[in-house]
Amino acid sequence: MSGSDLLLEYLTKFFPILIFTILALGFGLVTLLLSYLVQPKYPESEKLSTYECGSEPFSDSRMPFPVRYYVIAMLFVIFDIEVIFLYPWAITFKQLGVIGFIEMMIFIGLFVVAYVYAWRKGALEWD
Amino acid sequence: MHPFLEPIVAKFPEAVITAEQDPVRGDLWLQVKADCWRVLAKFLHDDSRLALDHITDICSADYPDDQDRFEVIYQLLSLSHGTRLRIKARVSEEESEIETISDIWRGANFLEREVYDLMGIRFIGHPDLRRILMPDDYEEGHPLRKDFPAEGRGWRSRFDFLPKLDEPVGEWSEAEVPDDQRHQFMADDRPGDKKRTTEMLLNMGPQHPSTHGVLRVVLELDGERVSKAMPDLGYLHRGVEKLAEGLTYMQVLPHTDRLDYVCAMTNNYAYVRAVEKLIGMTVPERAEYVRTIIAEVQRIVGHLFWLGTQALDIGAMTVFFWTFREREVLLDLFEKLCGARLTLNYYRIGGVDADLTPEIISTLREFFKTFPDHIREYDTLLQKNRIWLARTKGVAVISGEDAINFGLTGPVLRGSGVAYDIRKLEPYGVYDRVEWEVPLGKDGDTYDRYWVRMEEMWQSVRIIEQCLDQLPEGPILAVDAQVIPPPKPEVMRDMQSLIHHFIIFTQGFKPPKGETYCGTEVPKGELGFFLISDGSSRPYRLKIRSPSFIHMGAFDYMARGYLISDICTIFGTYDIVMGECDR
Amino acid sequence: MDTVIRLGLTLSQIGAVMVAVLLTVALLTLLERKVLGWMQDRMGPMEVGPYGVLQPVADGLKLFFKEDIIPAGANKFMFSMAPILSLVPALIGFAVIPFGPDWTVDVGGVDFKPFVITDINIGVLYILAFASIGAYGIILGGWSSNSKYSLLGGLRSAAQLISYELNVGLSIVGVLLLSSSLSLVTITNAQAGGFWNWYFFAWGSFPQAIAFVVFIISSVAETNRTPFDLPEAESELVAGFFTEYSGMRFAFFFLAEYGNMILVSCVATVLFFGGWHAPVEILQGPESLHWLTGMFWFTFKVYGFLFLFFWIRATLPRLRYDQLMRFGWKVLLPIALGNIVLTSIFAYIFP
Repeated sequence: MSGSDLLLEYLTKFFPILIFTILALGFGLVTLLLSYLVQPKYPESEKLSTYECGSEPFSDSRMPFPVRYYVIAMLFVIFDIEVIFLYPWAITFKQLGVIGFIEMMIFIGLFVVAYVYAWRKGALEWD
Repeated sequence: MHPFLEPIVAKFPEAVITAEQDPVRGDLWLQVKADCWRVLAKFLHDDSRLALDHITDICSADYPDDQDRFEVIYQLLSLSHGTRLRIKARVSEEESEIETISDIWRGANFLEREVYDLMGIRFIGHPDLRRILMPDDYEEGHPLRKDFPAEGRGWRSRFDFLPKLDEPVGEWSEAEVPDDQRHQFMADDRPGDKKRTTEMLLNMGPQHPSTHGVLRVVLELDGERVSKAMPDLGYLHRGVEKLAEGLTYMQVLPHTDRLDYVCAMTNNYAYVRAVEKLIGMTVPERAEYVRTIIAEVQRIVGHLFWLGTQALDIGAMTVFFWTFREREVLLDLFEKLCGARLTLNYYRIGGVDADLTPEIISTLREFFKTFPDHIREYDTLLQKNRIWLARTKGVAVISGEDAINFGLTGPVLRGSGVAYDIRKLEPYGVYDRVEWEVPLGKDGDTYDRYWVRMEEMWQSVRIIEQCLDQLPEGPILAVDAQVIPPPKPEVMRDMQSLIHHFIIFTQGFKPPKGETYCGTEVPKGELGFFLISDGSSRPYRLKIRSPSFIHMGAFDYMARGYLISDICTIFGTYDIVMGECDR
Repeated sequence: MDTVIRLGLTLSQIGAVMVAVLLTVALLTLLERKVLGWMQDRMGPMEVGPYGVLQPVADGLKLFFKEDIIPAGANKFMFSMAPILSLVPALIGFAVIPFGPDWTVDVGGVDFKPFVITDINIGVLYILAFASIGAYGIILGGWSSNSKYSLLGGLRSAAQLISYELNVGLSIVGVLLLSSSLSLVTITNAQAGGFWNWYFFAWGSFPQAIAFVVFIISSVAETNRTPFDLPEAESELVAGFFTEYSGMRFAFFFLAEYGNMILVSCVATVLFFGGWHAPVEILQGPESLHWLTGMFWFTFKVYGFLFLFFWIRATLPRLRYDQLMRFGWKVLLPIALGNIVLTSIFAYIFP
């Protein structure tokens, strides 16, 4: 199969996804628009104020906010990439034979070492 | 002199003005000088012969004609001796201040704020003396003073209640709440974490699904962790205490239903017991049995309601519907008994309103045949559920010592392992004639309080079944022509009865001059009524010691360091009802 | 000409799938309330139509005609786009799901697969990728509302994503080891023959039952359903990230949540329960009826999972934020990893 054929096949296979995306977006936008046309609009300052259980908010909510899971988020990025490496290996597992198997066990071993290290260092502790 | 009072008088001969025991009602009380109060209070708390470790209530009374106009009244309880002591101190209108005891009994913090708010007596050295029930910007003064009109002074008429629909939409502005208003909700001590400069202050309530009514708590958040949780009460403040001063003793009764509206009848019970103690009335035996039965049924209803809402706060929705299914049966029964489902009103001064019919008794017996299975059914969803255990164990821990110091009562106190139950300590009704136990927790966490309440339901079932077996025949209302309205047929036939009836309903009966405190074990804790009678037909002062209000005093202490999710758990574990908390 | 026919076929296929998904969502809103009602000794909706069957219609109409409030402090563009950003991934995920037999029919000279919109060779990755995009809608919606409750909800959603995305990814690797393909069609075809060939049981190699449990727990977390509904935890954060939303925008978040539920049920069916295959050959019927029995079995399994979602909701309380992350990282992750190692060892020993 030549390069252009491959490209064409990919295009035909992925083209429906593009159409689907457009249709889904269109569905969303059109429904919003139609709803916008028929709905009542009576804005008033109380109604438009931010909900905070009926009390005056103390401050704007866009403020520096300590997220406690920052380290976990970084670990997630790293581990998620490692998981992606597992995918091609898993698919070609049957062709790779013993070498692939051992290589991947080493890879998973490294993964586990990193994981255990993170655990022992307390990076997985939430606070 | 009562031996309990002797060490006090011996140690502070100049501070104590009077030390007496009420000859009729048995209450111990001291009149002390206000300027010696703090030293005395420390002694009362620390000395082992007294060990008055539990603060029950702080109340205030206004005598406009006296030289020292205001009286601050402290109700203390020694859990180890099982003795109550009332201490009264007079302050003048010009000074109107007294030293705080909120560092000796931490539970006094909210109680002193309440006295300040409603009577205007300042507490020297109080860490946070602000209004608590009335709005912060309330302008009319202090409502419980005798010269304050019950209908207010017109401040409210200046409010604009209606939304302004015709006005253009206002520009949204990032108006920040001024620093001095923010400050009161922020923790002063913040160990460690020096780098943090901004804190998020989050309003939880009054319009929030899990605050059990209109409670507002301002949370200071560090991420999702709570660094301070300041309850802001009073959204449901109706001034029941002020209203009661204008009503006869009998007319106050329906107002008590609206306190803890989840178990209205236990409030009635607490109130009629206080009035009966004041006038020294004994209740017929059958009435005592019926009262005990209904109080325990009401306790089951209250605990079912608590279980449902606590589970719902934690996210288990099915339990809520299941408990309401059983509650429904009991509410139907109440409807048959007294014609109402929410604001039940069944207890009367001197007895109860109507007799238990055989039909009601058989419904009750029928109910208790299936009820244990239903409790087990709830247990299948909760008791062994690991998420439930994880959400309740080790959450909102309070030690027994702290719980006593905060003045907590009821299941919240017993969850911390303190065996204080008024039904055992000062048995009323027929609690001393039946066999039952007081379940106690160990760790003082949410799970233990859950377990205590579940066990209490079992104990209630035990009490009711024994009471039903023992139930004697007899009248259900005491006979006392001066106090209790005679039965209708007699009123129609007999001149004497007609006159009594007329007087009771037009003027009300007149108890002797005096004062008394009477606490009753309601599902939430100790509901106490403190009554001062000046010999007229209306209470001179009626103070309600509501457990929810005092529990809220420990809220900050119990919530610090936990997460937002746990705040909802704590609401549930307190079993607060705002009608009772704000009064 | 071919292109036009292909386009027409694809469009009708997409239209059919979208309508089917939206109708299922409508049905689910009713079913959920009914199922919960029955489990809780009550009736569920009864007022609109006989036994309340028209309730979804009434709900939809109400939301459609309702005033759509944008709070004054909100970032208007983000606020409007967030629901759509949430909805689109939930819908387009269905593009690679095989709803029925892997047939190829010839329509006007064009090869056409009637039961899958497109059979791409990275189907699993595609679904994983778009599932995580949906979370952006939630995070952005929470942030743009300028309400603290929304913000907290959005942040919780991010925390949830980073704790469970990984486990979804890891739990699937076992299936990929057995099937040697990322295409959902190929994976389904590999499980033909009987229920013992389904990867849940995987006769002759390592059963993926553990992986399935990890997958389904993580999926519940990814779709923000109880007990992992922290971003919207109504007893804590009022309504979480959609506190400020109303009208049609609110409906989109709702659609997205239910759409995602259906999607993960479909994925679970395909990956672990043989997709459209009947449990035993005899129930599949004759070859010519495979389209009917295939669709039936697929729908049956998907609804089984949806029922599981409802059942869990009626049974379990909500986890706490820190417990949720701890569970994801310290319990599910090691299990999923162990499953991969065991599966590969088994696959190596018994090829």
